[in-house]
Amino acid sequence: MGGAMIEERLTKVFRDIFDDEKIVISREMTAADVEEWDSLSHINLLVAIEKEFSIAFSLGEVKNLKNVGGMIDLISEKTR
Amino acid sequence: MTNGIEMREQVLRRIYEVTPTQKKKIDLFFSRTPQAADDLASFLQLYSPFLKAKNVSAGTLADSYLEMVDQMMHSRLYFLRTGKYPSNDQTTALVTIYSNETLMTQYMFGIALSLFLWKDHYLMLQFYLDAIKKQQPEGPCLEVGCGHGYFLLEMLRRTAPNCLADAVDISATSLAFTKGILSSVDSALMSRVEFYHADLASFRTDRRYKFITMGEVLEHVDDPLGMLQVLKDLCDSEGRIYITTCANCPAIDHVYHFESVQSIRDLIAEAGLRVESELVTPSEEKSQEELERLKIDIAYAAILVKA
Repeated sequence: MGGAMIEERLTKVFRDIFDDEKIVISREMTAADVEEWDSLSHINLLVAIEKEFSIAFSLGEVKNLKNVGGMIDLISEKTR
Repeated sequence: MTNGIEMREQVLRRIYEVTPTQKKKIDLFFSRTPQAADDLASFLQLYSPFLKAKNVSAGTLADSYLEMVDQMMHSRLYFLRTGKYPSNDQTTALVTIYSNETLMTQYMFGIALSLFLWKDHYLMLQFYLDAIKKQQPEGPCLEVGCGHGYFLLEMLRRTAPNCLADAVDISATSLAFTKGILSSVDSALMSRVEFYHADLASFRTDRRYKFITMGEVLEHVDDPLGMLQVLKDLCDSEGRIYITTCANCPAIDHVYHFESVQSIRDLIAEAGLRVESELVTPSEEKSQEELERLKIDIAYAAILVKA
């Protein structure tokens, strides 16, 4: 799956989870940039990403998800 | 206290650097419960001789906590995906976790910090300290699963010097950790405790205890009903049992899945015990509908007596 397609679908996931149609994701974005992105919504976000892309994150992958760019790269790798 | 405050700031700085979500959670908790931040500094001050002797830095403490948080997050992902906990028998947990010194030590540091960083764990600690204050047990006392040693330490510090205790733990690492803590805080405390490296099911004694502590154990065993029945047998007719457990709380070593708080209460009643007082505290402040829909973990603590 191409990066643009991943970004488009990931944006939809973010907008659903944070109930905000105006969210625009960027590779550098972290939880520090979105007020509602707390520990509970982080879990909900990961669950929604797993469902959207039919993937499952390993422990090592969960640990290394530092920003949206990391998410995009990981999704790309796991859906290749 | 300076050491404790400095160490607290170093621990928090490291956690905040790595995970903005933990920063939000802890900041919110401390803003509502500033006493918890002070208590964290006191705890670190108290444990500092032990940590120094073990060459454990603030960074190591923070990384242990972060590792535990990641493990729990991964377990929760598995739970939300499958409806099950990652482990389903205590033997596997024993082999992979309780007998693994590195992992256990890391886990105990993480859990100990969570007593002051998480609302639910902090409230359960306060519930315990209140119970000790109210009961003022004269002994003998028993702790099952002494883990990081803080509950046993506080029980000994808050009871009379002639109050004796037994400590039973399936993990040799936990026992060594607890002995280390007691020795470093006050070597006189060690003389009040007998330690047993055993599963509670195989622990034999003629003693009947005035106060039993068993925090975060029921969810780690295959047969929590059997464990509660053993506690009932070990409890004096006028004794009290402090337990904690949780519903919908996946972790790498959680085996028994309580699907609701009521299922915990039902098991207590089935064991022939009665809830004298209890504390129910979800990890997140959400409506009942959201707690159930999102399967948010709910911590449970109770003081039990014989029915």
